Amino acid sequence: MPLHILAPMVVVGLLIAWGAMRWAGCSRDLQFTTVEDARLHWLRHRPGAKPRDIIVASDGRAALVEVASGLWLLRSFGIDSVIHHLGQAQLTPANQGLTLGFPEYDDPKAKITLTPEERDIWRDRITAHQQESRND
Amino acid sequence: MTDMLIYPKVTDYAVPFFILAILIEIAWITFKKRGGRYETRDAMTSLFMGVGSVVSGILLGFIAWNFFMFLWWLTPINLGASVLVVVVCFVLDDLRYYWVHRFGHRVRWVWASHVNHHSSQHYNLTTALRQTWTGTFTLMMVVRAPLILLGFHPAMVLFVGGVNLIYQFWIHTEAIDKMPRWFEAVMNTPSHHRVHHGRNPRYLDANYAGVFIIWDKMFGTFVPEVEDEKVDYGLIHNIGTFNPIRVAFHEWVAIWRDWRQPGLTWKDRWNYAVKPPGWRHDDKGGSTELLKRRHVARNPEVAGTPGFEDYKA
Repeated sequence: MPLHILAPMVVVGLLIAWGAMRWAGCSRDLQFTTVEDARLHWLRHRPGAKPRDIIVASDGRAALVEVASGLWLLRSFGIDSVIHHLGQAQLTPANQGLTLGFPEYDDPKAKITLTPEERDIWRDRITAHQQESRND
Repeated sequence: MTDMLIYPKVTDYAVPFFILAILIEIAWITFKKRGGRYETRDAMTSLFMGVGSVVSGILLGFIAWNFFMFLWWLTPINLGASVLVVVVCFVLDDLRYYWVHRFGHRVRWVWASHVNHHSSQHYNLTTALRQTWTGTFTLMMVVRAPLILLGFHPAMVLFVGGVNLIYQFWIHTEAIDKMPRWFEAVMNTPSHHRVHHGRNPRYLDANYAGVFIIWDKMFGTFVPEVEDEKVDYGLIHNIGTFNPIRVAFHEWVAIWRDWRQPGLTWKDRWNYAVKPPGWRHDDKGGSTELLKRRHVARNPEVAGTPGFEDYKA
């Protein structure tokens, strides 16, 4: 098929698909409504690692999960979730929470919205965990 | 052999059908409240991966084409272009697809290219279009060499490969439960392919078929969709980006970083490229076998059931 027909067709197709999904309400973000909800999402990622402690951010879009292998971040990713080990995370305070930098190319940064009180708790937990990891 | 044969680029002509089918699936899910899930950014990422794959084909396709034409020049055999020859070529190319796909899951160098197709946590028609940009770098074009040396024209081989990909589009859906029993027995179906996209230990490294599921049954990689175990889609470690560039290249970057670890031997570096995904030189990796073994240890009742036939409690 000639490129001058294929290219506009693809562009129009992408726009229509995007519009249809917006119309159908497919652009929501996942929220962890309770600690139990966050636990279930965590276990989907790591079925064998039972959480010892979970702190859910007040906006429900992230949680700190402590398991035997250390401290992890569980965060919403569209209407799904992803996890990160926080052993090598770089913390940068932001106006509305924390920015976490990761060494992985597939997910180098996560912005976590937290209240000032939550930010202090999260920062202390993550820093303490990283300190413990270095001492081990 | 140097004579020319021209076939339409069927995947291009299928684009309007792809778009229409995606819109129908979105409408079906929205109104019926079942049959799958859509997430705008995830689906748009898949669609951009599809566009990028076409662009990659335009930019790099000449490498495979020249290789095939060289083989065609070498071979003394020309099977012609009758309908029967095209059908035989289609079936043999599907066998070729099975093995390339199996390598794509068991050889990390090839997985680096194929992983993006599995990087969505969703399973809908847009997932079908989440295609690789880097297939040329895997050199898997060599697996097509026997077909051309046997006398199938390169244009025919690429044509049937395109038809194969179009067939695989419609099986990326949760809107269809099961097809008639005879069809499920022979053909790859939404049910069989859902298993292939599963990250559940039961479903890992199964159902590599393109069109005919018989290859998996012949080579011992078939696992049926189990009614009481819903497929969980995505990767063992799901990626957290909708950026198509990062989706396309993340595993290549991971290989590069593994190669640069201090203290590695050249054998380690070789193994990081050719061993299955998850292999590590320090034995700290998580292979499919290890994940299945751990799952059976946690759930002994599944030992011996589909996907765990070789595992004992």
